[in-house]
Amino acid sequence: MSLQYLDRSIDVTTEFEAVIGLEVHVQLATDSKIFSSARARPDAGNSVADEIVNGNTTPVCTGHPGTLPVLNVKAVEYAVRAGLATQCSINSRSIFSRKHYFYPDSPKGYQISQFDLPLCEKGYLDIELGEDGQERKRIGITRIHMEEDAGKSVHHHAYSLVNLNRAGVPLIEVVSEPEMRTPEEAGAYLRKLYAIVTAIGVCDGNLQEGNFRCDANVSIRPKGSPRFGIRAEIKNVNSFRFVEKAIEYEIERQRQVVLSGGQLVQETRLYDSQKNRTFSMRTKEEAEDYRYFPDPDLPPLLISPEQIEAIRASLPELPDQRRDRYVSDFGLKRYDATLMTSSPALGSYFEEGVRLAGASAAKVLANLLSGEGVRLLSEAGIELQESRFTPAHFADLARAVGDQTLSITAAKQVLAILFREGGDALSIVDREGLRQVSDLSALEPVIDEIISKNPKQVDEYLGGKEKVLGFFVGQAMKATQGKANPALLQELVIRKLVAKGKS
Amino acid sequence: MNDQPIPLNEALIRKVAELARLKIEDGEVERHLRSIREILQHVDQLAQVDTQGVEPMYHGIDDSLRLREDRVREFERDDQGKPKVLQHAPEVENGGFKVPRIVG
Amino acid sequence: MKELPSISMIHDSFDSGTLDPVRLTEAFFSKIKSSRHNAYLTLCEDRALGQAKALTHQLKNSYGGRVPRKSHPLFGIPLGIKDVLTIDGVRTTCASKMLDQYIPPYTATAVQKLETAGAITLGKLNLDEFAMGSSNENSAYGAVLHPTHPDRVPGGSSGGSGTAVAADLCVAALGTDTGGSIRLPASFCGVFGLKPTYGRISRYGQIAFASSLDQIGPMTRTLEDAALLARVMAGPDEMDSTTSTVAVEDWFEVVRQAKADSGAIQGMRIGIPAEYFIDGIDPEVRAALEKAIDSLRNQGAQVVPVSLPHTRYAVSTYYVIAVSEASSNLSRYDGVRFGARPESAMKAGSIVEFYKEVRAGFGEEVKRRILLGTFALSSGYYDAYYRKAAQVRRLMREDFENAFRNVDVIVSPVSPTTAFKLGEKAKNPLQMYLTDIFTIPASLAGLPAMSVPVGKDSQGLPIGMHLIAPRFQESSLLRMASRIPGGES
Repeated sequence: MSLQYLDRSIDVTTEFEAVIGLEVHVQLATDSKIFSSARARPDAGNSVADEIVNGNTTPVCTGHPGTLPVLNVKAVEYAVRAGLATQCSINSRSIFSRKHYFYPDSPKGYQISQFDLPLCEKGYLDIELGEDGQERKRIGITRIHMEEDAGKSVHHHAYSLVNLNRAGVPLIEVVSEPEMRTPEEAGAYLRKLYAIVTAIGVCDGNLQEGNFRCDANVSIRPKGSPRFGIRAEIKNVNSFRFVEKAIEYEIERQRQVVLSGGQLVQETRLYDSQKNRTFSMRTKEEAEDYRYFPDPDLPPLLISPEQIEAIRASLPELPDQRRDRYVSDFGLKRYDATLMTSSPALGSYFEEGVRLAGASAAKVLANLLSGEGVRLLSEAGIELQESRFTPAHFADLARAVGDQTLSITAAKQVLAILFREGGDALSIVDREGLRQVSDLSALEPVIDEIISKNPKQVDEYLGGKEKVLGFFVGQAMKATQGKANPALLQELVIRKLVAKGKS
Repeated sequence: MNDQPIPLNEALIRKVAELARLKIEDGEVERHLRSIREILQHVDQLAQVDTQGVEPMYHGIDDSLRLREDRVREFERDDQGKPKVLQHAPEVENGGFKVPRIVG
Repeated sequence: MKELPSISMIHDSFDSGTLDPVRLTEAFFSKIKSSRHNAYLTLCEDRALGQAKALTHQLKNSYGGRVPRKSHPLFGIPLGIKDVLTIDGVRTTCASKMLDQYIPPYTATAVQKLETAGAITLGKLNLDEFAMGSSNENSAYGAVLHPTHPDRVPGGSSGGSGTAVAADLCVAALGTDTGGSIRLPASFCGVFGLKPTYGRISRYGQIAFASSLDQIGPMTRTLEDAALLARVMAGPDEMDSTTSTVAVEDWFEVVRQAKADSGAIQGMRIGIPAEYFIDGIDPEVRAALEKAIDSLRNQGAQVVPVSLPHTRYAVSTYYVIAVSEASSNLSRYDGVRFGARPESAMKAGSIVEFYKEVRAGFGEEVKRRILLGTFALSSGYYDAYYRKAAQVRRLMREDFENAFRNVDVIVSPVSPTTAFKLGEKAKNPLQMYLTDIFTIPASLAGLPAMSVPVGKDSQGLPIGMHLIAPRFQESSLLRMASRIPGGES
């Protein structure tokens, strides 16, 4: 008995491939909403959660009878920027359409979006995979269109409360071609897209505030088959890592279903990060009929080639350009340089750090920022610009490591303290007594003494037992309370032992 | 218009009513079906018109879309600082519009 | 109908001191309260008297007893406002149970402009529910009666407006027109009704029926009043992306000059569309029109036959487009942020049931149109219905553009008959829709059009003549209308 799936017979040895497409909703960082003059985002430093419920609304974005949409010019500019930064062609004429569905957080009973004639089409972005990013892949972007965000609901036991502060916030929806095949590719795509939209200043990039939201469409098919399988849409996953894990789970889940002869169903699923699994939302019997039609309240949007060029000319440096600049100017490895461009904050801390500590500190700076720095931030779940870190922290530490007065390990320790307390990096180094001894005049006598006290081990080393080196280094480290520069120490010990051998 | 007659029947009326979130009692379906059928029979004459290459007219004006400056203009609050759009709302709790529990 | 004073005559009375805004306003309220027409749904007594008192005071103390007609062209003039236009703090129902106690938080731009020009709002006028109807029999608050013949309909959907103006329950009124809803009641009630070019007057605050067709317009006793109101309201609005920036002429001046000049329409060409003068037009209506056209011919206008070949598709086209847009515009009535919410709604087991309970508040005709519109937009039917109708709409517009190469104004009856009896067409929606057959094409094409009273039939029922001009050529309309005898009440 053979199992059929799509156009193939399959069995346990069949290799499947995943087909992944991502739809990302990016909130545009305008002051006012897309179609009304209500406030679109809180003042710097405040959270959306702090805003008065329904305080950032007007009759327009609450759908009061008789109100009409008027389009925000900045939202258009930002959307065009995003299209240009992803190599899309910008349609000189695009249309807004109404997408109908009933939901309490959708005040008009329809969402103003774009359907047949979106603003941007046929772009791409390049991702890098693998340990040091040597594998490159180009992922197509089908379209980018403008639309309005919906409000939010808070659910209680028997009722829900609707807050329309978010209703009408400008969005662009970036739809990828279903060209990703692994969770890693999906993660890389998301990180790259995030880097781009934050670098060009169209998105504030705060994931917790919902500035950048991803839905993943996942299906599987036998490798090589041209057909598309039944896809599941995974919604509301709020971190890149979780998106990767959700996709990973989903691919395997679908594979199991198919191999067991079960039926896959087109559905919406959510991801449970605690249990690391996806689960189905209420399945709808049929696909929603959105009854799209051109919004009669909004005539066609026309953009001239001159306007597009003006926006193109004003585009800030894109992540890829910045990465290349870091590689050529600072000698960073490509992979590290990419990390430095993954968010504007990282990039600006890096550049400020280089300004303070000098170009020679660049590599260590990058190492500290992207290594321990990012680790501490993601553990605490906050962004770089919200933390106590300052560029000076990293600059001071990087310089000290460069001078050899601080080991990399000690630098990380200091970072953890700075993260918790803030303050001055070098004062903390002294306070914790972490200064590394690289002073030859301090180290040499110590080593001389150890060598003179341990003739047996000297002979063993000179006799070829290289492992004994560790003994000398260990002893010297003990004698200096672990503060000796290990690399220097080792070098010195070897030199002295060899010299001893010759004498 | 397509060549096949549209299957205009009770099921279609009910489906359309569902899409529009309208309650249609059993007695009403027949009545609506009849009047809609009559209207659509008249509307079907549109199929006779040769519209090859004709650009649909979806808007009342010919002008392209005018854009507005990105400027916040807060809407009024009442004397207690409560947003005016909440005034006269059917049910409000903690500043939010209250509805039965939304599932899904 | 006795001659009712125009706005400028009322201003003359203010100037001479024989009348003031307060007394005028009080007189109207007294009349309204004793009328049985059911023209008004809400009266704004306190608000109106407050406005009137302030204006009366200003007239005496700031303007030395002379009305500042240039800066405040509607100074102290009491108006009725169709209850589909919002006024901040004033109950606005659209004649629907759905909005029974709705209090808007803002005022419609057009109303704002009128009040800034000195107008006083007496109250909100009855209409067909959500402006859907041709007889004002679809109101949730009862039908409006014809101003002079209580067994007849005043026309719709601006029936309250038509009756109020004709029955002297206000100096002038605002109506709205989507497929003829100003022009038909104007014709049936014997007053002037102007639907401007689409985009002339802001729709911000006009509770939407069909967005690409809706327009606000004046209904008045005299032509110059209509021109004046329209001029005050017209112009681009930053709250409405579909308003036009085409310059607004001084239409009041156009009328004043044309009325004073017997050669005003010399050489103007009047188009008579073959497709409009068909069987089924009441012979008395036809006779009244022909008499009016003769008079215009005698003043030097040329009469030219024209053809609008796609006229027969007007009702079909309109009833697909209008209901589709309406079904969409009415999606917002869900009882969440405003509007009526019945007890049963909060007890509903799901949000879907909640919506259905709330939306059961729509009347039958509104429901019918929502169903039709939802159908026309739904997947599988969109191309055959909505898109197809939109294409035919463009063809109808081109018909007019072709005709207007040879004529300046197109003339027709407003309706095949005079006011019909209450209940006569109410049972048959399609029959009701066909009453709009002459007014619909101008709406679809976005053209300015108006209804001008040209006499009465043997039963004393008013007859209206329909004039259509090219886009933004309201002056042609007004110039021609100025020379129609009986073109002043």
